[in-house]
Amino acid sequence: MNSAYIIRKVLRAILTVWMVTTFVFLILRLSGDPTVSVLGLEASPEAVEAFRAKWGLDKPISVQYFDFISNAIKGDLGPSILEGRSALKAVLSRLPNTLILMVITTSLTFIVGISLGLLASLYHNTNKDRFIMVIAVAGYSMPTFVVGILLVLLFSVKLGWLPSGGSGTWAHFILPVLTMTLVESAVFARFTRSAMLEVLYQPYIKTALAKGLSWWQIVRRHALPNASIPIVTIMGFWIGLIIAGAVITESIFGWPGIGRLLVYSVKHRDYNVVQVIVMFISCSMIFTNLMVDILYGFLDPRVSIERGEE
Amino acid sequence: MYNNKTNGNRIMVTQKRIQGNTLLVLFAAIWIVAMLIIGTLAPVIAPYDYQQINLNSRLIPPVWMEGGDSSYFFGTDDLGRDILSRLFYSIRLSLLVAILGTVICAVLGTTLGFIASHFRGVVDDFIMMLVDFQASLPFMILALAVIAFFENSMILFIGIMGIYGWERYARFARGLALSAEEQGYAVAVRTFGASPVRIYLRHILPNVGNTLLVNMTMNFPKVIMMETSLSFLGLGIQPPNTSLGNMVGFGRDYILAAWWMAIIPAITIFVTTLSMSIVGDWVRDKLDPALK
Amino acid sequence: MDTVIDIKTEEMLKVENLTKKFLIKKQKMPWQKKKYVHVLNGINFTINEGEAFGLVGESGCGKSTTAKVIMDIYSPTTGSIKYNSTELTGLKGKEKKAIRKDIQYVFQDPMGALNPRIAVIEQIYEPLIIHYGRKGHKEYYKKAVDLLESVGMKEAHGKMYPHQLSGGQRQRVVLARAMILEPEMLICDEPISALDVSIQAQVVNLLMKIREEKGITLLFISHDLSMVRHLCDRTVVMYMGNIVEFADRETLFNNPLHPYTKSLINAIPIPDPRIKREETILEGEIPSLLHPPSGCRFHPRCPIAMPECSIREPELKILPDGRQAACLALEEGVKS
Repeated sequence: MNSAYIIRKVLRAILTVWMVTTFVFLILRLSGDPTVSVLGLEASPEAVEAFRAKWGLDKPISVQYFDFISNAIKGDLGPSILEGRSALKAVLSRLPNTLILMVITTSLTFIVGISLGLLASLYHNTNKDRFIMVIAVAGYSMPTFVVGILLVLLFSVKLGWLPSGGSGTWAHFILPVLTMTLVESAVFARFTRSAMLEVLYQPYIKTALAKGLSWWQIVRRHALPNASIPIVTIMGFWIGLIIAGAVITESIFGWPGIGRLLVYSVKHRDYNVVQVIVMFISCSMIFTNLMVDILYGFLDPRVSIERGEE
Repeated sequence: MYNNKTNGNRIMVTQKRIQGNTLLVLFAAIWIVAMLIIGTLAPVIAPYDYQQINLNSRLIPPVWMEGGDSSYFFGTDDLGRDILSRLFYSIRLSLLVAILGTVICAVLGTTLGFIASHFRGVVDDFIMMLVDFQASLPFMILALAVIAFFENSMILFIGIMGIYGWERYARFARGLALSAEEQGYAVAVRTFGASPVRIYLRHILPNVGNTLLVNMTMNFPKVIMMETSLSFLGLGIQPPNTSLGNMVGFGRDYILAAWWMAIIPAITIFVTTLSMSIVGDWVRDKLDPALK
Repeated sequence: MDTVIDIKTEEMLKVENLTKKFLIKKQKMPWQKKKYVHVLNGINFTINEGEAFGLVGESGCGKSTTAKVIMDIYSPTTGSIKYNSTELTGLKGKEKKAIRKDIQYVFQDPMGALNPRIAVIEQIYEPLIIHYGRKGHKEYYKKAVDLLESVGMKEAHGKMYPHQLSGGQRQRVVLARAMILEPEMLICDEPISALDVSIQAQVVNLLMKIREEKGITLLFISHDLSMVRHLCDRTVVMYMGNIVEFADRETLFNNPLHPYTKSLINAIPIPDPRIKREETILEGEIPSLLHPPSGCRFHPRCPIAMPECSIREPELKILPDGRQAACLALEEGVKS
């Protein structure tokens, strides 16, 4: 572990944030002049003029780009067309709902996914292993919305136990959380299992067995710490998965979070809100990846040597 | 855990597992072939025009339920359209989009990977920067952003599906080409004065083709999942066209009154993607055991 | 071996001040320095038309790099390579392709040099397709079969894939492929070191046969001095990216001047145990190219090193009898 490694990772993260911002700017400008879509075709020339002056569309593209970046840094990405207030505020007001969903799902996924994966790896090639893997493959190959719909069919339509959508009471949490947990746990279990199996067939495990350590000691002291490294590395990838899952899940169950807001804004072409959400999500992903990289460096002493400087 | 008894068991178990898996793979393959046939023949075998609205026969349940009508096997939807016919056409369009997307993506990603490996230096750095960028943003968010800013159309949608997963192909192709270039045979044909196109298409591609093919079969169910998910959100294939995803999406609103509208296409999607994963895993084990 | 070869004195390939450095550490941060390893430090030699020219040295001395730079597999850092007075460095497009026809390269590892997924006969005539287009497939095939037979293989071998052939057969295929464009010059980069000893002689004899029949110019690279003695008219000895000695066969093997050459020649096994000779086995390892020794690069291993050797680097001097050597001990001998 050394500072050059961390600095390089931080610089790369900053570069990626800049690329995302530029991408959003480019796609915004490439998609045409927003004047028409906001004001309509019958707008008076004066109104068009005023609109263009207000949003700086009459300035050269380089100035627009510079303004865009400096405004983005200030967090000012224009108002939401649909809600009238600042797009950032519109997004922030939905954020707690999404966060609570994600926190509950993440904790459950950790417990369920890792234990299932561990169980499957320790009972490798037995019926237990195969049963868990069949479920995991099924969960893995099912789009989130199919899982959600099937759960609604079972718990809302057939059994009538739970509401099929909305928010407010604790009962509304169950189906969205269950949907996401099922899908994410499948990914996690599969990954944990293969990471563990990789480790369990290493020579040092056999050495430990030969030394006379008990099986549980071996798993706890040798296998788990080494298997945890690849598990940590998928965290970055996994946060993307859970965000995409949240977009779908919130849409199925009418959950008032940023995922549903994103879909709604895309449908109604509320550009500014889409921009804020895209940047928000990518920044949090880049940040998570950065943390994972640094954590990875601490967990695996080889990394900073291999990837960094000698 | 590692004593002789369980080791013996493990060998037996492995044999049994292979037999069990072969059966599973067979079923999966049959299902995929059936889907392909249905997709190809949809206009011939569909009993009704999938767009034909009949308000007198709305929300008829499937034939095996009470109130079912034998002329509508899977029942009808909220506008009285025959669900079986819509299902056939949806399979057709979903598969078409997924196949086109997969092919575009494989060609695009592989080409970019080869370009990166051939030119190295700045070109390589730039392409790898794009790969990193792509990997740092969930594809669904990117797709939603593009759809938000541009008018949604079939061509745009296929284009979007055509970049889903390109970075994986690019990374694979680049890595494989870099190591193939180190191999004598690529250097050898270069010393004869062969053009880069010849070196890459005639010599390197066939040698790395298996890995790319495996990647393609593994990617295919993901493309279907992405396509149906976007269509489910109402941001993919638009009416009057029909896809498996948007059938589920429209059926969602009637889930309490007419669950079959959503569940029948949902199960079709599930079995199809599951079959593709199973076949994909099998192809991987056959062609490229090293890739796991 | 008494093959009479008419050595013309016309220059064919002239290598001048060739240097090559490889980047071994990228500049990842602006304040970091790039690191290079210098593999060739100014190589000069001239190969005459029709001769067999040897390039020897231990692994890592730069002999293979020299060949690869000539073949444009690597581009040189500085220096010039002239082929029949055409400058090769910086050549592009059609001219480059035309020159490629005239110089062919035989690889050390024949398995790697052949595409595992293409039948060998197609690989043999592929250079024809590259240079003359797709037409004339039948003629190409016939020519390839003729060549395959001339290297002692059968037409049936052509339909096989590289992994179905033995190591010696693969190297014959590589040779046949190198010959199909009827080159004027053949560069053999350790063509036998990856082969079993029993097959090595066959391949070397084949090379001699090809030379005899086609009058081809040969650049033969090897670490095996007995093979070089067997095959080459004139030989360059390299050590850590420098030429240390250059002479014709008789002079070099009967009267080596440089201590490095002497020790290499002394290391050639003699099949008669009764013959005694002066033992100067080289001590120590080749120093790292990253941190080359000061002065003469050979001095840490040299049996006759003087204090000056670690300070001053000897130049390659042309001696009165036409041979060349780079050693301070010799320089003083010349002076006195």
